[in-house]
Amino acid sequence: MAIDPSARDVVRQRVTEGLARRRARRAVRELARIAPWAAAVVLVAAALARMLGWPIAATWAGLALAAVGVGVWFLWRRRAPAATDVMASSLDADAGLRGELRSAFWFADQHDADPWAAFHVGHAAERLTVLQWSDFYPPVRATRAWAITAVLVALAAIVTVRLPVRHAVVGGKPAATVDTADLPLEAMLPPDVRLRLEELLKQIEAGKMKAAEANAKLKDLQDLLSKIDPSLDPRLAELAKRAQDAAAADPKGGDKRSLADRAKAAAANAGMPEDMREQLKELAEKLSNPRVGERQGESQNASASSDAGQLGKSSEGAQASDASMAQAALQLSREAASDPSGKMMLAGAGSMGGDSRAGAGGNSGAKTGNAAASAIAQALRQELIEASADTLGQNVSNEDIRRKTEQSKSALGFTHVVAPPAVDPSRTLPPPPVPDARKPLVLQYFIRR
Amino acid sequence: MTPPTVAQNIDLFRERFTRITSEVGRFIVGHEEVVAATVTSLLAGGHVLLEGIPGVGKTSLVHTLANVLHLKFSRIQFTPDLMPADIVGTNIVQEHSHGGMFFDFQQGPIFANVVLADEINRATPKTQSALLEAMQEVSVTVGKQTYALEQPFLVLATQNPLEMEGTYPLPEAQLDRFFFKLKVMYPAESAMHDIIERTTQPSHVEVTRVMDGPEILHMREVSRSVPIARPVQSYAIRLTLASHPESPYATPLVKRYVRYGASPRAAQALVLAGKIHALTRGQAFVSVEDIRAHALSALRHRLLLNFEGEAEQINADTIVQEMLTSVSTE
Repeated sequence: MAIDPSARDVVRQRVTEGLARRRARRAVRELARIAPWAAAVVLVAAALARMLGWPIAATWAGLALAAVGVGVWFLWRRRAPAATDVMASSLDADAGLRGELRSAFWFADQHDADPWAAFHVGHAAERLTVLQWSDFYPPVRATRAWAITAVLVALAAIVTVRLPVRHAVVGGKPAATVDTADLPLEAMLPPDVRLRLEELLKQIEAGKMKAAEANAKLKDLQDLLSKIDPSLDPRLAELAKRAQDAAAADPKGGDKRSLADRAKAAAANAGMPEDMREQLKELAEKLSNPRVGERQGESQNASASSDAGQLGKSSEGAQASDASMAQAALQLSREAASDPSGKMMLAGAGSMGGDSRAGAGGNSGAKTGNAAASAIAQALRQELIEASADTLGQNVSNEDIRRKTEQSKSALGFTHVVAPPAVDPSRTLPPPPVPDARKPLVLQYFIRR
Repeated sequence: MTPPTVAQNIDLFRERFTRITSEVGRFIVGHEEVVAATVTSLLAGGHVLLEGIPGVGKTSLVHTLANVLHLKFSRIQFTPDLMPADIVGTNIVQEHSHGGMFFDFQQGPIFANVVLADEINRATPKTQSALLEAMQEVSVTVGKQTYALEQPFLVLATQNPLEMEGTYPLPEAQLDRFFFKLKVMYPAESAMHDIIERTTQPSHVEVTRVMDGPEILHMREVSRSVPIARPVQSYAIRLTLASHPESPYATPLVKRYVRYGASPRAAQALVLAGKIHALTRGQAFVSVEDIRAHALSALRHRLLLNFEGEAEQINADTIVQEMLTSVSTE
């Protein structure tokens, strides 16, 4: 008697259905477990994308890609591969069929005419017909996980749409989407900085401020300007524009000339010390052209790093601007002139063969005596720093850069260790005797062999 | 045989099996598993080695089983001076009435359906080996003549695990011929009450004969008809192979303490016992659980421990239990 074909089909079909249902349930359960985490990752990625200034389209594309990835993973997890004995066995165990499904599934593929096998497969088909897989694989209830996922995805969408882009410099190039390059830096100044600058220029123009004080304040302002990102936030730019417009519209605003023009005018004043004139010129140039400010910022950084003892070692030090050098040299010359005890080293035109210009001295080559004053000033400036004569604004551009080391005493110690005493043979024990219970076993073992 | 007949056979098998065990259980108290395994071995055509301390009912069990089954029963008390001829029989010179002499074969106690070999390990290996042919071939050879034994033939041997002095442990070849090795444990406290009440009162429990030889042979035939799926059969084979230390299925304990593993007879025993167990559950198929049900009884005496295992008195049951938990069912 052959196995009933309908019984075979029922067994195979029910196994396939059970596997599909189990896989679907497992996939949904896994999805419910990972969906909140995936949504959280998407939210963070969306926020990062906005902070890094990626375009909205790219953000949406990323979100869509993530959704597609999760979808593909879900479909892959719930796919139904060909049923095997192992799968049938696990279904059998889940349904508590005590091996009948597994055995019947194997016999359903056999073509023998065993009446017992036919009876077995037929009996299994009857049991499987009334079996409800939903009783063993109920739908997954993960309301909390779905709710958390929905909230996180909604937040990601909101972040993508509503969060303003923060323009950052990526790879040395500004990633701004709003073009602020055409605007002068003056127009992008924050209101408080602008007020400080105006006040300073007013005092310089009126001649109310001492040269040293004005110089220090100018330097502070230059530092501040060099730190301002040329690609300022659009809102900042907007604020600056508004402040500029308000200043232009305000009839009580006094001088309507721009800050850059006023700085230029002040620099043209012949009665002003030369270093201050240089500072003002530089300020005027920076205000009128933000790129200059940016370059100046770089040179400032390079100067700072050279101050930290890296002069001549880093590429930044090599790129220090000539203007900064000249400025430092002038300052040095002035300090040297004002200090009666100080002696400036000059190479004479006598036996050493050098000219009378300021230089490193000596006559060892064609360039001897041709050292720029700035180089000497920089070298001496370094010496000043090493001599701990740090004065913010004179030889230290940024105090925080200076390395500070500390020294403390070590707490390492040791204690005396007593050597172990010699082994006392009288305290050793003989090996334990062989248990009586084991003796016959051992004897039996050897007798049998 | 049509499917309804299959169903009827299953029901009949269950009914008869239950009848035997319940009838034996009327006299033997507290050893239901041992009784069921003994009947399983009888229906599978195997022999049983019963091991237990004195006084736990080993001999009574065998006696009761023989009484319940309408079978010829004989008992051999194994002693060191027992000879093979005392078991299988011998040729005796007889004289014809008309003159002349001839050899007449006098059957030994082995010529029975149920043979109780009491304290089998007290006889010498030479005498023990007299059982080898009978157990495997169901026949005995005396001189040049081979005598077939009557079916069903069942040897139930007992041995005491404590008194090892003056005993001769069964050789591996003979151990392997036992279908099951059953351990008869000390009865529980509640069972002790029943034993005392039944044996210390004037009324005696009388068992009735519920089955005869042909019925048992029919049950054997039915049990062998149960189909077994290849994956389940593979599990039985893997379980057997796992007892070999060089096998890839070998467990750590097997690798450490076992010298030789179970023979193919073990796999046969597992499958046959599984089929009978399936029928007793009303199934027409064998499952992994059926195979596992009697694995301990079928494998424990087939593991030959190495020196380390014997010196450390490793219990074979522990090794088999580890095999059952380690070997994959899939």
